[in-house]
Amino acid sequence: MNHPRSVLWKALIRQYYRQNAGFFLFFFLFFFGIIAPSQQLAYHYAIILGILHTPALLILVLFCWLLYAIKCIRWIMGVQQSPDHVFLYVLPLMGRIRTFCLLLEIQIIFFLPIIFYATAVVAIACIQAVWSVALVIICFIVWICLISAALYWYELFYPGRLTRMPLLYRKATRKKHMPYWSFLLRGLVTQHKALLAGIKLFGCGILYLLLKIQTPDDYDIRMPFLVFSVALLGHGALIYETRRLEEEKLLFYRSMPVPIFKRLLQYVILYLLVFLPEIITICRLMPDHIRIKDALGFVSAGYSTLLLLNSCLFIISLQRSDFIKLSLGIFGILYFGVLSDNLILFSGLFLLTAGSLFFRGYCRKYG
Amino acid sequence: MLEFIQLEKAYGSQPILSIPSSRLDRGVYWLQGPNGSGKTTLLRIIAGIISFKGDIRLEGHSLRRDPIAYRRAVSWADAEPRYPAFLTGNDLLSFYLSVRKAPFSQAEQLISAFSMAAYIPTRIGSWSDGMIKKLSLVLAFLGAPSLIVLDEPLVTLDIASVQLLYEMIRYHRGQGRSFLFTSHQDIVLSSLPIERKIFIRDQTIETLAVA
Repeated sequence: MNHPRSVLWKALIRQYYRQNAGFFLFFFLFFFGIIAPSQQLAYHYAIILGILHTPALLILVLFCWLLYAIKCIRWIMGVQQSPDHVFLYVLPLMGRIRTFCLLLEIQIIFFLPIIFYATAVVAIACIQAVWSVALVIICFIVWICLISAALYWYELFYPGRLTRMPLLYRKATRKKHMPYWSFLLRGLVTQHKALLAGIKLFGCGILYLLLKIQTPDDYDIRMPFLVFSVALLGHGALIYETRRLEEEKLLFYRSMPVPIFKRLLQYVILYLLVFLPEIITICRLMPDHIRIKDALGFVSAGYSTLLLLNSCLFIISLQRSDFIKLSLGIFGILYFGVLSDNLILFSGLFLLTAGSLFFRGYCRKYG
Repeated sequence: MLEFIQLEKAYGSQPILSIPSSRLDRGVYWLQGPNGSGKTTLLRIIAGIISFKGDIRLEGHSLRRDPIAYRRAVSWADAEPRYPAFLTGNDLLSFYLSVRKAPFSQAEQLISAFSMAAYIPTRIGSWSDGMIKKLSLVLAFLGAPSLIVLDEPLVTLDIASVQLLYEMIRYHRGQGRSFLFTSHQDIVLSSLPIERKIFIRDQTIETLAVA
């Protein structure tokens, strides 16, 4: 491997696959993890036949590949413009064509997961003599790789011009309205993705498994709720990290002219979205494996607990040990609720307390 | 313009500020005092970021009774601004534009003046301290605040940006806006229309006319 290639391998390719390992793992599990190994071939063969013979599915697949290409382009452009990678701007010294070939090579490596699948689709298309689809896929992949490499090349030779284009810049700024809760959600997704994924997988997985075994003859939700409350305790870590992000990096929001109701609404939306996978899991098991009243109790207890924990962090200090003690106390109360069959009543009390603590704590803390 | 009413601030049992009653008219003010005297605390109180006892009124709007109108009238840039690394400059710009109800053209002019167009769509995590500082200043100038509070605005800025900031302060002062800033760096008094200096002494403020 020559020097520029080995440097680019380290600076771009290795870094890209390392940063996106979770993304690839998710798609790998989605495509290959949900089917028994013995049925994998038949499953993917059926999908490929669908792509070959259904134009709408083909367009959908090409669109998904295009989205992945945009992801790659955005990532590389971001890296090219970052101060850490300023050394990349010596690459043009290798000459226009050599630089382009090197960038094309990088793009092909970025695109390998899709190229592998596309190769399988093209091979089956050739066997089935569906030449038009094979040609479309080959042209599409070649076109995407060439265009992407050309964009990287242009950014290297004419730095900043692409991002300075007024039209691109204006659209990027104007079209997006960024609500505050989206900053918090992105904080969780980007900075605590492993924690978030772990809590969601554990929470939804344990709910699914423990509720699935419930039958009308042998129905007892106390044990599922006890284990579910451990997953809720895990959410405490997410809430804690969110508040820390606000205290450290989102200080400016306090000085913004936003009514306090709207400030509370940001957390209401955020934790509804965070809790959505559990809500969906519970709804899917209703009413065969969990009674409607209990499902309502699970959802309201979980959601109100998240809001209560969040509000408590406006009252107590951001000391991790204090927060853990408080969380354990809240779960103790909640479990008493399930034992006394009053989960919904307790949830209502939690919601009221969360609201009043938020108003009191926010005003006291920030004037 | 700005009125302090029995303002008190303490960290634990340690009193930091105790301003019985004071009023600042419109103008450009340079807040001075040694390290730890409470300058940043006072600016953050005025910006509505930290709690305190008493009240502040800006253009007649009380921070206690009318916090939205008050916060609409004040804007603030931190000494060492910190933003989440995963956000882009555009994310913050669009957020400020929508909350402060400012026109897009205003942001466009500021971005262009500070030569930030090339990197504003990129993630803040890859920016230098100077770039982040410029962003915080741009955000502070968005909207139509009547008071702009700047904590150490010159730190990490390059010479061209410092001159631009001076020009902007002069221009906005002409438009009737007021400024309150701190700076440990020397400022040539002729470069800014500074009306008065404010000193923090014995937890309270004293204003002095600039000679």
